[in-house]
Amino acid sequence: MNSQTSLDRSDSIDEASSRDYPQIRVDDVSKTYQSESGPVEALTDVDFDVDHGEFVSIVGPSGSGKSTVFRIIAGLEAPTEGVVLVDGEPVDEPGPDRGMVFQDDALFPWRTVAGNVSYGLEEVGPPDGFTVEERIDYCLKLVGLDDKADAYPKELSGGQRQRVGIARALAVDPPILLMDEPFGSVDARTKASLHQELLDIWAETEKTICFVTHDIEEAVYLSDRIVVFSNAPGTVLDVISVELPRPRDRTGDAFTDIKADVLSYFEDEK
Amino acid sequence: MAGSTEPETTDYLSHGLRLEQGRTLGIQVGALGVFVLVWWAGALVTPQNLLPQPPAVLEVLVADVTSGRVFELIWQSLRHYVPGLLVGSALGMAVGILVGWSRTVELSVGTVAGILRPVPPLAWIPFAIIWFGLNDRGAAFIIAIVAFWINYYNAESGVRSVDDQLLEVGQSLGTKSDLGLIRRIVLPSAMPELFTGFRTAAGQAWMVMVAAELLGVPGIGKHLWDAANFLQMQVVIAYMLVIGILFLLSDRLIKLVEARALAWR
Repeated sequence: MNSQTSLDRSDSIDEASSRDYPQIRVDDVSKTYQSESGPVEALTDVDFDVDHGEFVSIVGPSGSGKSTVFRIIAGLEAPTEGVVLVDGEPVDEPGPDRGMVFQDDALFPWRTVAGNVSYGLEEVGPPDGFTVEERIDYCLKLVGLDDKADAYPKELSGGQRQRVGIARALAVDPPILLMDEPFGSVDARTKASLHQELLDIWAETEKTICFVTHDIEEAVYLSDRIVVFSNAPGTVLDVISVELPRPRDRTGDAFTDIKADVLSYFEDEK
Repeated sequence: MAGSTEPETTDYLSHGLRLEQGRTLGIQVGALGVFVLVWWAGALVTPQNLLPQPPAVLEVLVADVTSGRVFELIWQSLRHYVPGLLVGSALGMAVGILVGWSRTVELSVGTVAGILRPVPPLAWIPFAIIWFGLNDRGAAFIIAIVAFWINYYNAESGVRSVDDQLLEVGQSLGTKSDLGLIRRIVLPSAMPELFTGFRTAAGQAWMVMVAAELLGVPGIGKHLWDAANFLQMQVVIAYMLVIGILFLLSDRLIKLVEARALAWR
């Protein structure tokens, strides 16, 4: 947690008191958009917590508002009602304590792989115990791309680009990683290996991960808990714990039972 | 054996590439040849003072190159072409970026710009004369106006097309201020459009330069007008060709810099 010293929030919160709060608390959040045909409700009374070091997935059909809740946690949008607390402090803007990974990688195309990873380090400096170069090297090794440091994003495959996106988000050592369908546009085989790599990175870095997806199997494979979202306006239908040892067997009975359990919420809706 | 196939493939490719380049060059040279022949044929049946024949034009070029007159005239023109292009482009890019970035600037500056935009650059010539006089600064002012608008619109659309997600990533990685976002994300992201604007402006500036020198500012355009007054059409055509060559050279040069600066594309 020494990374916290470089973040704004750490000034007001010492280590002991931050442990009294969950890492992320989504507290009664509602979101209404104004459109030409009147107000559109995207989220209604959304309420859930993510604990320190926990891997939580948000699943729901498309248009269920799961991306909206991602954007509110990220600080990119403000809730109409309610509040998101990170370590007890309300979120009002994006910041380096919450690393973001998007579906379409969102890499800076004019920067090399190393340049992308370096971006945040140039802004807030490297975490304690690292120089910028060491940190870039460490993050690229973590995602297995240390041999691609000088390549431009256009030279990489979809899977490699997502790895750079993860390395870039991890560079400033945020306690939280927010991921919005990060593997939504990679092929099935790449996806499976990215899952394993993400779990390895999670184990090594002990981040809190909030992972938005519409892929139920992905959610069951990765998560400690799954927050199930309804169709719009999004509400939390259930929070399902996945108490299976890792690495998980995608074809095992326990696994498929949980999958069926999550899926049942969406079948009921029709 | 697998290792030996690669050099062969590269060799085959570069051979194919050479063939392709040779073909391209062949067509270009051929087209120029046909153009000169048609011109020559036309000139043979036209009085010399209406359309001079190619050898007469060549004679002027050779004489002026040997005497150094061409380079003197180019230098005189560059003295208002370069400052006009650079100042106009820099201002156009700066204002275009701000209009593309900020809704408030768009509504205020953008509205005023919308009214001034349709004014033909040459309509500013009276102001060029009374503000700056019949000199390099006056001509540079006209060139700058042309460069300003082209760069302004390219910069504005370049900034508008910046991916919002990149800005969000920048914010999440600690870039807080508008200035920081513009410098670190908007500028590099819009660089291709900025280059296109600058290159287009550099081309248009040669054309307006000839008109601006009509006022009496020394340079290629002025020389061309003077020759026309004496019906020395071979000189007119010679300097039309000089302007064409200058255009090609400046365009090539900017493209070269562009290819290097935008290697990431």
